[in-house]
Amino acid sequence: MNEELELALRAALRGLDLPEAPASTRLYLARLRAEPRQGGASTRRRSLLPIVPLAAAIGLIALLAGGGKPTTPGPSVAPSVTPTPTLVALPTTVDGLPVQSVSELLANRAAGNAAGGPYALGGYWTNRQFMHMCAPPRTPTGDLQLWCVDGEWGITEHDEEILAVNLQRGLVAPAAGPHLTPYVPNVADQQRLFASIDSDPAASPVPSHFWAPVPIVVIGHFDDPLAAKCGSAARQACLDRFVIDRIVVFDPRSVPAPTPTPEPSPFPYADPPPALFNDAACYHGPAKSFRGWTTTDKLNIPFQREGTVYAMVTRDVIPIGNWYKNSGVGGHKTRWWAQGVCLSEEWAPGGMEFAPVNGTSFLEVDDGRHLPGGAP
Amino acid sequence: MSRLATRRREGPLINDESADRFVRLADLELDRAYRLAGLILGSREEAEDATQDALLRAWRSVRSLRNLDRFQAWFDRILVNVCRDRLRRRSPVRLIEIDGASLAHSPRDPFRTLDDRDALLRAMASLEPELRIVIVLHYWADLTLDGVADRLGWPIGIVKSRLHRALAVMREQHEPAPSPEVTR
Repeated sequence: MNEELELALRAALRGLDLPEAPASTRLYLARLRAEPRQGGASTRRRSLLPIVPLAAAIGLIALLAGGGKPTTPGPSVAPSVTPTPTLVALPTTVDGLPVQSVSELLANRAAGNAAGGPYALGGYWTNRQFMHMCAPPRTPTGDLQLWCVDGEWGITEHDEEILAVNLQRGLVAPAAGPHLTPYVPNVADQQRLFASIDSDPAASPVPSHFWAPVPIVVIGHFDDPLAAKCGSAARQACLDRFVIDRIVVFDPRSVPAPTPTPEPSPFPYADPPPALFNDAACYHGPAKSFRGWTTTDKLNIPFQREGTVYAMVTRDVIPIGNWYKNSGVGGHKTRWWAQGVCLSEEWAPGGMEFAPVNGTSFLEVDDGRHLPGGAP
Repeated sequence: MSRLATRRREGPLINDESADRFVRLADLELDRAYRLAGLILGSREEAEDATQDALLRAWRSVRSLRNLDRFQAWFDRILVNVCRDRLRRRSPVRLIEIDGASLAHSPRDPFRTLDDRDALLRAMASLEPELRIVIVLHYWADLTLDGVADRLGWPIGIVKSRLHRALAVMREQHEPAPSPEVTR
């Protein structure tokens, strides 16, 4: 029985007339060749090249339109979310060293009172790396410069992400409170702190992309000898890089998923719950009204996350992206319109664009044409 | 740092000749890689993104490739990992139906309309991602079970059991259930 199925399957797959890789991908490969093969001065996110594989075109355009400068997300209306409890009792001293907060440690360093080490540091760990490229560096870099990725992971003083990333909208915003990005030289420590970036999620306790801030206490030092390999302009920054020697407290399992509190009304509900959505946070720009809101599971939108994700649908078609030059339409500028779906997570309020409603999208061309169908 | 970050930070330290060879080999693999990603992800846009993502990761970690003759297997592993990452995080490109809005796929996306063409392919498309990947690697990419295990980093036993499970699910979906008249 299986043999017949296998033969039929093989024939069906081999009979497919699949397209070649698009020219843009070949161009991408050619551009890679021009990439620097050694590091350089830190230019984190000041000059993101237009290559953000995970970002939809909407987000990419928004990012470029903003010059890549980190932007504060839409108004953050506090939702009725149960605060993430810290179940781990953090020690106040480790090996006789007082556990300092980020601000204390940075202040001591700035005042010249924290040379070398060791020092104990306590706070919250988050890892919010996302794929992007930075402007080519002009000079060689040392490891401690963390070229291109500085600020995407690290320890915050408060219970907040070190970097809020919304690829759908091309927004990145650093933590509001004191934070630092340490260098993590130990491979075992790297595996703990960056567990699921490249690995099988089944092997890691929770997907780190969705980790809430995890309480952490580490021992580390400044003035690492690796700073000698940094360029002169970056030497002091490298000396100031906190290098983790040992993780004392770090247990992602200790941080439970946030508990959703509001009970959604049946879809469509007349008004979006203001605590979860607002006009500016969902497809910012045009004024819009909404058909209502519901939970994503009721719309059969699968999410591999714990907790509830809410969805809201615009009543009318709206521009869901900016104008961009479209080689597929004779080089004209185009932009997508559709009824949009926004999502809001209980634990990450503010709304994010999710997808157009199928069958509602069309492409507006700058010569006045409307090309129906398709999807952005 | 994660392995990814470490690679990104360091960049590939290879000479010009090796860099040229990388680009040549990658260029030869590009069509196959794009199609493989498209079959796994079921979307032209995602296939393009995944292929570029894999190229970037490969370029950043090219020093880990000891033998350029093994380029295809090495690049496959990176690409499949990228696709699996995307499947796990999938959300931004999924179209949804509201109140009976059309479910018609974009006619221009050959990967998204695969399941319209053949009942078997439809059954394959409905498999959970890890099963679908095994099917695509074995029956489309024509890899041996050892080859599939190599690409996925799984023990051969896992590959066999998932392949068996995938075929069982597909057979169940592909074969029509007995009609009520027959069962009565």
